[in-house]
Amino acid sequence: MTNRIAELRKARKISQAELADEVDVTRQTIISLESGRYNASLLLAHKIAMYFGLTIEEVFLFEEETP
Amino acid sequence: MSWLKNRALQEDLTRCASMLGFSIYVVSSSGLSQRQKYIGTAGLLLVIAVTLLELWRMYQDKRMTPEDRREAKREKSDERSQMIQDRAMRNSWWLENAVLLVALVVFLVRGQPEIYCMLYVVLVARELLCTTMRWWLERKY
Repeated sequence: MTNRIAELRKARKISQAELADEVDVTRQTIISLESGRYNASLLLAHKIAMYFGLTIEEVFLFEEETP
Repeated sequence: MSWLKNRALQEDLTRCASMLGFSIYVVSSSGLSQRQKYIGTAGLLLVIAVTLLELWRMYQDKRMTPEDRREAKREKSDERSQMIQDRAMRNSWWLENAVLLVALVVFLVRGQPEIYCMLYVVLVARELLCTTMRWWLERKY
């Protein structure tokens, strides 16, 4: 799973700390999400998507696993 | 050293240090040699240092601004922090099991039934406790 958090955040000119404050997580969590080292829970994905005024699918890009 | 600012990690470290210090003190307090007495004293000093550190932290906590308090609360409830804690505990569980199994085999080979029976009981009790917890959580979720 990839995401557009860094891209959307930069477009809105907000810092990682500000986004972290808005969605009630630590800045380290935002850093890990942006670098793809950590996948958000459904609740956090929902909070982030709501913050950007988008749907979860527009922020988080799910790639189907090939068998 | 940004990890030192992580409150959850600070708590883990102080807990480990106090346990280590107390263990050293308890283990070596029954010994008779001068070296063991020194180690015991070092352990005791470590416990005192950790206690003072904790008291200082409690004092600092009381002086926190509402913003700092909110930040500290967030660090504890942060889902990534909790995921890391869960994984650390799971990995520790497997490591403990491996160490206990190796020790069990060693004492079995050395023919010390009192010790390997004790280790066996500990292993079985741990597994039973884990299964019980799992059953209880399965009911809950």
